[in-house]
Amino acid sequence: MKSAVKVFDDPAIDALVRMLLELASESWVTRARLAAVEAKIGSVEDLVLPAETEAALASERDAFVKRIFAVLEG
Amino acid sequence: MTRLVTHALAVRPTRNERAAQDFTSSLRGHVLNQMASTMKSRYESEIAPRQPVPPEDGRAVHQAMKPDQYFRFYSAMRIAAQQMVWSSVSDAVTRDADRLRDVAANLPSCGGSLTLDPALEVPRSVSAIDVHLMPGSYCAEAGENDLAAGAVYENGLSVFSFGLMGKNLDDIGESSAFWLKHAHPDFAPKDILDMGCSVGHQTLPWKRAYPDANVTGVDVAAPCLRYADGRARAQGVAAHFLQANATALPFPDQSFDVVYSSMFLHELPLKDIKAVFAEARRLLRPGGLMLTFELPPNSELSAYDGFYLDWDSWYNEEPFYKIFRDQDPATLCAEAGFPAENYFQTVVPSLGWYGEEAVEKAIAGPAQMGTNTGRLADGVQWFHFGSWV
Repeated sequence: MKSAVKVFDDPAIDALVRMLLELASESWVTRARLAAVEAKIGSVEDLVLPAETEAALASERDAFVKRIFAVLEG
Repeated sequence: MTRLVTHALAVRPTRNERAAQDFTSSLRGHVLNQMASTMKSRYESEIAPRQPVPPEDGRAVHQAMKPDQYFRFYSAMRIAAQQMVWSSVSDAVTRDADRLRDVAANLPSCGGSLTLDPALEVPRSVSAIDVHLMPGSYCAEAGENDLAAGAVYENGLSVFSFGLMGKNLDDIGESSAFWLKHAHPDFAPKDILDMGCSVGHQTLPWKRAYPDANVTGVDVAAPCLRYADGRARAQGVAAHFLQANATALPFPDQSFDVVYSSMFLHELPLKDIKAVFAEARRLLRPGGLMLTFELPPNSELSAYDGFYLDWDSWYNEEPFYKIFRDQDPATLCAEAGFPAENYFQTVVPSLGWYGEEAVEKAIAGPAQMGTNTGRLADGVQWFHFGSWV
């Protein structure tokens, strides 16, 4: 996750670039997955998720946040 | 794009991991094509004219580029994309490592071999840094028969190369062997050595091109060699893999007709580069060929193009990259005892990108250094040099 190689005077900008690209990647992953789901079942616009799915999503969301900001942890 | 790894040692990424790999490949394609093109235009139209003295070499261009915001974003994005190459495949490999080890152990032999030397000291140029920003480098081992580093490398290469290294990631080896067969159709090597072979992806094309030859790959990294051996068996190619340091190989004098390497020398300290050339000379039989695929030397390129290729030396944990590219390959060959008049260099268009007919035509004509020579971008052409004994 980390590199000693920095290009900006302020290393915070290097970290921000990495965060931005992680976010962009996650955004693409979600879009690709959603395309697969909707190709199978149609639109999910009005779908209500079961509670256990919501709980699992919350857990994944925490991991998602951790991954985006992993660059700060070294 | 681990989808380019399709043999029996293929890992099983999740849908999310595949999408993240695709994203990283697209990101690299954008940085290395679109952004690289914009950056060069900015240099020519805005940055170079502002310099009090025209930058004479790559280092001077680098100094001129360093304050530029576009260059900084290009570099930061390329560094991040390189890190994402490895992170996009490592979870799948970690999850699959035990299964891969078992699959490799049970693949039938097809006449090749694997010989490891647990006593071999891995040089610090490999062990002390995360080469290519790959965590743990190529030699990280997690227990007996571990081949995970090899799997990370091949799957990472698939993401890294965004298709430019061919469907089997062997376009360089295929192009090199194709050149030799077509440029020297009467040459029939019996023993071929590939130095610094890593996972053997550029080794196997030699066995395909010369089925009667014995083909041997050497490297210092045991996990990569275990993977190379499994990869060769998975593809039904008889190749031998040996753990050894190319600066001092355990073969008698005049053991080979071809000593090949690809993208290897620029990872070595200069003293090791010279030792490798001396070994190549020692190992070749009369009439044999040392053939090297490498990045073109700085002396062949404009100051800007030299700077562009040397980027990896400054930002991709390849500290010897520029040192190698500052050398004159003809001098290195001559110093190792190759006859000066037998030195040659040539440019081979990528077989996968251009197709056999176009490459054959290019081989028949004069070698042309172009802006795509040695640059991993659309339309890549591979630079080669070498010498006959």
